[in-house]
Amino acid sequence: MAGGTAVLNVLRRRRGDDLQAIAKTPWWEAHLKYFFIAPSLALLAVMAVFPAIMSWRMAFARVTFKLGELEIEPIGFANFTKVFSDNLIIGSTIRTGVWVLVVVSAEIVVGLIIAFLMSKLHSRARMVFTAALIIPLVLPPVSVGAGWLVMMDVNFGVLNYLLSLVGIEQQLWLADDRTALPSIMLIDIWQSSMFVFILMYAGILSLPQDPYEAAAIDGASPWQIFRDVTIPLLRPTFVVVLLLRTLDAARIADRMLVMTRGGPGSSTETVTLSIYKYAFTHFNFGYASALSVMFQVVLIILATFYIRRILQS
Amino acid sequence: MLPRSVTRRQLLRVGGGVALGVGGAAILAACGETQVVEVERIVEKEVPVEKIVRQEVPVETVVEKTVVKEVPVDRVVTQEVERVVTVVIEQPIGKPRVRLRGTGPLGTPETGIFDKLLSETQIELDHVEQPYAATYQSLLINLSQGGSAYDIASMDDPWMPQFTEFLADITPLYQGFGWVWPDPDMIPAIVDLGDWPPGKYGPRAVPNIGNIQSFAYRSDVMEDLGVEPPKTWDDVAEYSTKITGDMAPDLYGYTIRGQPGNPAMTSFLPIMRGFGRDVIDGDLNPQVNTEEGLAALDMVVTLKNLAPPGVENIGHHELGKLMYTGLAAMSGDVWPDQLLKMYTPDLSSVVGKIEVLPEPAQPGADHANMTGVWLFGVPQGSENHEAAAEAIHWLTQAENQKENMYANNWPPVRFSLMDDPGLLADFPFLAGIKNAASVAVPRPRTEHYSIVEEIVGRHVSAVIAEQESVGDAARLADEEVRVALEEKGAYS
Repeated sequence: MAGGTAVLNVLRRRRGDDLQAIAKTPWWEAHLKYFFIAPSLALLAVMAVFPAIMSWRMAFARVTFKLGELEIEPIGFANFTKVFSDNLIIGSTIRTGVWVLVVVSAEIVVGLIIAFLMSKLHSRARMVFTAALIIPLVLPPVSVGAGWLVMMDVNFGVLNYLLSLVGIEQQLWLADDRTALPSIMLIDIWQSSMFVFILMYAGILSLPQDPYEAAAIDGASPWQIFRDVTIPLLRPTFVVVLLLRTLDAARIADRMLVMTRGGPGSSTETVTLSIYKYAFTHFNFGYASALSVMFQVVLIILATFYIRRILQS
Repeated sequence: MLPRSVTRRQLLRVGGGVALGVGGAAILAACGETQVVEVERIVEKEVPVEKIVRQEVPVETVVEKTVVKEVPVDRVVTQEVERVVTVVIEQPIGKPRVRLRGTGPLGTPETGIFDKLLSETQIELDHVEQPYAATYQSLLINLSQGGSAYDIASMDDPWMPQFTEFLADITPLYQGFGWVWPDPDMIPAIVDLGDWPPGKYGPRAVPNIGNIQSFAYRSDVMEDLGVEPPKTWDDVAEYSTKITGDMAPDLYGYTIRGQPGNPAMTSFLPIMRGFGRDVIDGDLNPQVNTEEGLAALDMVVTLKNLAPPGVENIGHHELGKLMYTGLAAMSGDVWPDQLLKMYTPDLSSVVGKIEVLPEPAQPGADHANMTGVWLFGVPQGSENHEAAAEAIHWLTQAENQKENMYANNWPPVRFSLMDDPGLLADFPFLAGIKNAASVAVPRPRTEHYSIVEEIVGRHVSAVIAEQESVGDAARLADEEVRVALEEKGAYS
């Protein structure tokens, strides 16, 4: 009892010292954290918030370039209603949806398989393979696009040459509207699966061992362990991967711009590529802003949905 | 002995003080004279210098900051003098060095053209290299907003209707130096590309690269066929049918660019014009869905079917490669840089076998090669108008245009060079380009051309890829162009 009282006294004294110290702290030191965060906030305001506000403002306007100024004439919702009669945008939206669905699903499957296999390897082999596998990840998408464009050249590309060695006839790859989008999907899967692999691999390595030991004692097969232990435990990682890859895949434009300019015809044109063309070829910044705003809203809804799932899991 | 402890507050204070000191020093340094004198070596010798030192007082001040504290006083004068002498050599009194920034094709640094410009004019030109589309976007935003990011803009001729109002008037700038503008040695039709609307501002840009699109064909193949070079698009289709039928997959009759937008449109325009109609008329009414437009699209389909596989997704470089590797016998979309490759033995299997002609045209229609001229202009927002004009004048002189021809195959825009025997001997196809230039016309002259090009080019690409029928593509192209131009107020 006496010991407890002594401890309480010590704590009270310390608390009193702390309060005294706080009272003596100069104003600038007490609020130092705000000074540290201020430059980042200012930068964010200039680089993100201001352009976003301008984008929303232009979405409801007709924008004209004049010497030294932008003439912004409000036109209500005209830019938004136009979207629903624009066949190019309707096509681009459907294509982007298919793109996201296919590449994100494939990347998760490929990334998970590689991560699972890698976790079974000897540590030295893991290091070598991991280093090799992340090479595509560190390459800029534009360079990757340019490289694959050369390799997929119908007449001079190495892919058709290799196929010819095994007796397979010349493929049109990017030159056929039926194979152009799947060809670019393959490249994206090749590159971005490695991003999924890194996250999944980290997730697998951090899983607790107890459930595995219990499953082994119960006589579960490797497939059962993978299906009933690994996959459920990896659920939070899955949701994070889905969130990041969905947002990134939906914004695809650079690869198409380099490899096909959206063609043949408009068979590889995505929403962001269309927005880019409306902004910088048609110089219709009002309509491009309206498209950007709508696209932004869709992505925010998707992200909110995923983040809720993350918090729940 | 125990190390002295430092509290968090002390650390923050010291850190803050150091940061303030460094920041303050950086700000003071930034506020000072930006001129920096590099000293490679200090020569310890007596030089009679008093007069020079007095002339170069601002530079001397800069020198003192670094020297005085480190060197004995009796040596200071000598060392200062050595530095001042360096400055006098690099920076003649009365002609300070000016630094300009330009974008678009200005010249090739490897040829030493910018070093020569610096040594002769004291103008240092920073070349901001960007891809074609990025150059256009960057220039449009900078020029229209009166920005000073660029002092010299090198522009493709279809951009001129959008840019002329944002460019400084060349005439008074040239007159200030006592130079005549327009230069009588420059081809007037090319100089006029910088004048839009005609006569409103006068020519606001100085041409530098006389790019002309031309029709190139394999002379040896025509000889084997026993035919004259094609004069009409029907001839092209007929010969292509024979060539592809007899020699594919080793040789195909014709090649065309199928990528949407600028590539497909650039290949299509000479065909459409060869059928006697442009993609838009003088009042900006779209013309693809007309008898001539439909016939031209039918011709595109015919020629595409006689082309090497994969033309649905080729651009400028790939088309050139199909020609210089000997896989295609004809194309109406060949530019001088591609011709240079066709005449380069290390690259080409068709050296000496390529001839150049005006674009084919159907009976009753005019031959219509397309200009792709690049012109220099001075943005109104530039803070160095005079120096930019001086640099442009220097860069467009005959001697430099000749060097550009050798370095990049940039055809000259001067009469005096078109018939230069040396150039003609080294570039046998130059005579063909000259002939093509005589019938060359620019792309439709409107500030909305990029919109027309994107829409029509997309539908031509869809026709080449067999995504759309000729009739649908023509109808949709015209409808979309009309709607887009109406939104721009082009018809009001």
